[in-house]
Amino acid sequence: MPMQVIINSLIAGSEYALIAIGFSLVFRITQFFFIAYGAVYTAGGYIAYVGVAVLGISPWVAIPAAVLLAGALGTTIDVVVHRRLRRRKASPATHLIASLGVLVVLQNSISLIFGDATIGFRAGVVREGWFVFGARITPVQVVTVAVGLLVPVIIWLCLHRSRWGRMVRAVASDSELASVHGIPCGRIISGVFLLSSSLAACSAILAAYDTDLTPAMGFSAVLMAIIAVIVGGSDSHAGAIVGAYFVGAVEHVVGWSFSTQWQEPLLFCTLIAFLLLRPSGILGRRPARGGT
Amino acid sequence: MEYVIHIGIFVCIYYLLATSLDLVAGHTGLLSFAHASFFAIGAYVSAIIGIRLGAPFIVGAIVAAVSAGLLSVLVSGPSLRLRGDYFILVTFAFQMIVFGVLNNWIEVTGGALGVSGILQPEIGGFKIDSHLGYFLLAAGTACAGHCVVWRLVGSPFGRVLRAIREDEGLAQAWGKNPFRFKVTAFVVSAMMAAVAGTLYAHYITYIDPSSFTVTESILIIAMVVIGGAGSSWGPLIGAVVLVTLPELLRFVGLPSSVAANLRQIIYGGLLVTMMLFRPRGLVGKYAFSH
Repeated sequence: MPMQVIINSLIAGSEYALIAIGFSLVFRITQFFFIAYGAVYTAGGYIAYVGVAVLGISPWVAIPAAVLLAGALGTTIDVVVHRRLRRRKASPATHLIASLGVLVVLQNSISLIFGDATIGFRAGVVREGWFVFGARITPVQVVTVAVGLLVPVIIWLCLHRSRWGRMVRAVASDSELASVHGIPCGRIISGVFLLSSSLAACSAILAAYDTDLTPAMGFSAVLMAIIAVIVGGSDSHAGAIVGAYFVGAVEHVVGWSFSTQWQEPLLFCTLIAFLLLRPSGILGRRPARGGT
Repeated sequence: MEYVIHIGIFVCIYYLLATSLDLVAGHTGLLSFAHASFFAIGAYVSAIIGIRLGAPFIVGAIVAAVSAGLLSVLVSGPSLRLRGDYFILVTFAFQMIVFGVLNNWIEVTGGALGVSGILQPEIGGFKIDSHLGYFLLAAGTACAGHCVVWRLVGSPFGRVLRAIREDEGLAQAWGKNPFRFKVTAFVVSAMMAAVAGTLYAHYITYIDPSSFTVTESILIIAMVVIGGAGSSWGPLIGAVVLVTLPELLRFVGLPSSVAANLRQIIYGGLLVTMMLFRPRGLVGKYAFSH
């Protein structure tokens, strides 16, 4: 198999790893699919665009600002929509539908303001990139791979070596028991939304430097995140990472062996195959069986 | 007046879609994102059969419905044993796969260019070539669909569906096989969606994959949710509201791209608002509470 396919799989996997772990954080603590994650992802990219390309602020300032603002957006979605639903003990389906509504509103708002055309804020000359073992890789892609490998480690450290992380894991494990112990579940969950949305924005900005911005980019991203989390195993964040690299590999191997048109349908076939045959994913332990 | 009839035809088509989705989502509690894919299958199968094989309209509709029914068994059979949100994911994935096939299987479906030149229906020697004539066809079909769902929902079959929705374990303890009921409901709903697809294809006489995306599935879900799930009038109200609303926007004089986004923003906003403040929708009986 050509080195380029391997390198591309690695790059795609790293991109998805970042997205997947953000998604997994919310999924594990709230047990619902935070579809609006796609909207926060897109918003992060576009806020950075406004900062860098429209307002002319230095990327060193605009990017962290965009990440924080996207995080704030995610937290707002949680507080305004999902916290209220949680108080009513709403079902996961209700959360899903509400999240879907939020995604539709935000994505179309972005489309309304910025149009549907692809826009970018890449500065400077389009660089050719370097040759590594006979395959081409650009500087942005190198950063993506590095971030994709580094961030999961940082997240793991946050979750397992800090007091906050311990509280997050407690709420994820049993929120009622955690609140009995005095852990402020609402605020912890909002904090997770903040972290997750910030990660989404980071990922979007990296993607924007690689392939520019479109309003629908977040929707594709959240779909990849869902596939990665399910395929890799929804029980753990490691599963999300493994799933992400698996998805990246499948995507590029399929693209190289057949054609790029069939990448997406085949990825969804993979998702169905895992859901039917191994719902707990590659790394999962508990099989998810039973009725509604 | 032609314009009003045109709206009326779309209300009928979307009513068929909404009420069939309500059968599985509202009465059985199975939220499905695959409805637009069965709509698409109905449209494409009847269009292709009509054009390539010269089959009459009714034959095309029947073949379309049967195809959708068979595919729905294929999808739901293995996946109805999964837990709720995983079943939803399977329907979502199926929808994306069908769209991918429609978009890429160029030899059969024409890919992104779609299928054009679909013939207007001819039933028993009567050629339907006026808007009013088509409206009568669509309304008649919608009434027939309504009767089918009404009878199913009011019958013991419907009661078991609602029992399964509320507490599957209990329904099973009373000797009902939930799996068979769920699959039956799913197949009936898929077949009805396919019939709606047939109506759509032969009315517009041109179809392409962009009318059958997951956004379309979400629109149909919105009709059920906003109108009210699990009730007889909910899907009708949902269909009327969500079909006529964008047409009203047209009169405000916005450019079409703005109108398209604004329409989606309104749908999305209504979805969120409903879930927050009135999950059972305007006149519904089921609040997606399981």
